[in-house]
Amino acid sequence: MKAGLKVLLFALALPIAFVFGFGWKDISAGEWDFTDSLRDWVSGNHREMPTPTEIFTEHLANIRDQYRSELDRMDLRNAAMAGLFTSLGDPHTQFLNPQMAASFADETRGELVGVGARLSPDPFGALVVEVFRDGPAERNGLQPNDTITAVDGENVSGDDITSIVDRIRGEPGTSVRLRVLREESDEPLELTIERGRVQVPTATFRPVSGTDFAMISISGFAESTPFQFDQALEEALRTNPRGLIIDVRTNPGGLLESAVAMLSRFVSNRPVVSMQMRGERRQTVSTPTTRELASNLPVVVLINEQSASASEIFAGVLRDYNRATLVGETTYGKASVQTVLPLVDAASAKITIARYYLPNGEDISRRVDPDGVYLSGGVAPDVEVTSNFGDNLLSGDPEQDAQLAEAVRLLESRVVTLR
Amino acid sequence: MTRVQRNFLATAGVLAVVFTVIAGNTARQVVEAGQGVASTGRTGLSGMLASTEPGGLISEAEYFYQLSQMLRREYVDPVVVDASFAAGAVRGMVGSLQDPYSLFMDAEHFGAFRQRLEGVYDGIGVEIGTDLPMAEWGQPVEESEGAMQSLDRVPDVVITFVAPGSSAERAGLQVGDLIRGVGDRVLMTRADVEAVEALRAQAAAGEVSARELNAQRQEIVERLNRLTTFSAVRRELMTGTEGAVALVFERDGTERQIQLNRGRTEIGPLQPSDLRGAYRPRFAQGVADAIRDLNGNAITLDLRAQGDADYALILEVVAALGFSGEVGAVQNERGSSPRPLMAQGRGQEREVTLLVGPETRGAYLVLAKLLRDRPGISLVGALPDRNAPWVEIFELPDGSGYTLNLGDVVRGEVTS
Repeated sequence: MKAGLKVLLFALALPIAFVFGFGWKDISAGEWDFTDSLRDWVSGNHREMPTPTEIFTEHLANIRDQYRSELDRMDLRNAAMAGLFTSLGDPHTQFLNPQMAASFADETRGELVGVGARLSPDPFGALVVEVFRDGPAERNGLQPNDTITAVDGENVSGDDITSIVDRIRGEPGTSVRLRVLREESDEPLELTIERGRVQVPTATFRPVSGTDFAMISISGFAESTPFQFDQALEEALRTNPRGLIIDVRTNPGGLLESAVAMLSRFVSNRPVVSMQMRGERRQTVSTPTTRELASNLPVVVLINEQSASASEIFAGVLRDYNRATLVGETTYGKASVQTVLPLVDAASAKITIARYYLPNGEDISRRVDPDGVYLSGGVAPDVEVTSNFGDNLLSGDPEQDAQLAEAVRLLESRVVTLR
Repeated sequence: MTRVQRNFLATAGVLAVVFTVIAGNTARQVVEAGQGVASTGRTGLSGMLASTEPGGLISEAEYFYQLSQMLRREYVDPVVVDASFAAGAVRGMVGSLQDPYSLFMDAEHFGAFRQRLEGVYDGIGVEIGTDLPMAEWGQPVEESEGAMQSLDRVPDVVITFVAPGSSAERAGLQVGDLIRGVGDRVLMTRADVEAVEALRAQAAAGEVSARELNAQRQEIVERLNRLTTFSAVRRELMTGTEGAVALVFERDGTERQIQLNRGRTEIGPLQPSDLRGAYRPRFAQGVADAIRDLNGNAITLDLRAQGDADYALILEVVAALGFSGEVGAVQNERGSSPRPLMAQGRGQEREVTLLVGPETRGAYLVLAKLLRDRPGISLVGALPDRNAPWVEIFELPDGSGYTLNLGDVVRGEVTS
């Protein structure tokens, strides 16, 4: 090589080496765009810009010292940290102040028992969505669609659903008195129910009245759910249905393994979900190779805004493999795992550390603006049908359930071909 | 060249490249230190070594720093800790004050706010506010028979200014119109809340059948699903110059819906009032000069208004009317000494008539309070017996900002 060329190459190598060194941190993490930092260096911006901590401290002092009245220091700090966490736009990544951290921990404990009913929030108390078979509530006359307005003589209208459930739960063997409004009766009813251990059924078969379709309602994805689901599926197939409706409305999710096991009845030996943890490559989970129990049956899955997590994966996978049509409302958008990290003063930081993705790679995570208003997320239905509040979601009767009625209509018209 | 020399050059060359790579990396660390991004092992307090800081301040800063780094390390997606994190924390703090005069605005809103203080109105050309005085913000309604829950007072959102020449003016919107909904979203009203409370009480007492309850319940939940926030309404109506917006408003008890285009309107700081010969000032750039430029020995200022204001300009207006010295002070509830409000009079003395009334609020109320009973000033109308907070504006490096209520204005005894 001529000497001149060598010098030229060397002269070029230096700036390239510099830029390479500058961007090494990003390059090694797989990110190639570090031009912002480069621009800052060239312009000398970094010398003038305050750090985020400096900005925060300046305005904390400003507000604390100049606001018209004295502010509680801890409240102000907690408000600041809560605000800090909301800048990510992820509703599941939250700062929990000490009070919130304590009640969050409480939710996961609890050996109290209930009466065997599923309740949902209602402006006037609690709405009974489901009464478990053979449970104390069923034995004592509680019915789906009842509205509970008082517990042990105390009005619960307007109370938070968690506090109503807390009141109803108690020691096994003790009783609770419920005041209940029922559509057919003009006077409220007073029911006394003895609390006892209840087996929460998570997958139940119901025929759909007036049709030859079968419906399986899945209320959660517990360890026993795949077994219950298989039983329900066999029960359903014995009635020779022309179509299958799977209801995961108001199903908050649960174990992903259970959802995967249940998916294998429809799609076997296929990738069904991939998981992404911080800094790692996505890992894929596939269904095992098993007998697909219901391979020839057209399927509709019912979803609503309270279908979350494993329910969304379940519905989304069946849709992506063209094994089911989705009817109802867009799901919640919770396909992530959080960890709760304790902080020095009994506060906690709840942080999303992993996300789940559907087979087609779609990220269904819910995103909100700083006011908490929904921006995007969830699995969208193929056919959107809103529920009229007060629809009896578990009646199995299309006349009482608009979303179920649409599922029946679709199956009848065979718009759903082997899908 | 000898072989030794060639080897030497080659080694030097390789070393040069290696050192350049290191230099690049070091430069990056320097930049990131400036951005507050820590490399491992730094505590991050080196920017705050000022020993005059009271001990308590450092723990908040440390907390913020540690939490930011925790998010950066643990969050599932890559996170850059930058000025927007600080803005989020400030937003949280200002929001916790629950004070109608202390409002955080993100960069988009704050930019529009600053523009309005220069007379430039984007969106449909309005300012909106809430009608609930600060003292009533968050007060419970009286407990009625059977109601078990007390409620926070829900403010009404009201138009407080219509910019002349804007699409809002052309559509006939007026100050005092109540905003009930934007697009397909609705704002919760006090009447909504009171109706729900009444129905809850009846349900608890068993006075209403489940059938009727169901019908009401459907209506309520349907509305709840369409709720929007004050902040979102501000964005729809007061930012952007493109597109159209559907607005539902209430006037004299009737609801109406209209469609308006967004655009940009520019107005001066002194507008003719609907009363002939009177002017309404806006506390925006240039207002003091505009007042000085008014002809005649007698002027009338119409202060029956409220709206966005740069409060420092209030003092310039006082000065433009010829007054000097400590014209007032800001008193706070923390027990520290009041902060003086100074004017440097550079105007001629004139007969000034101020029109006031129940609509006089905010900066207009402050101006009226500072001027009353001074030589040459006469008030027409009754000045509301209400506190007049002093509000200052603060900006953050990412373009967001907030207003802060510093206390109430009291008039000072002063030189003319």
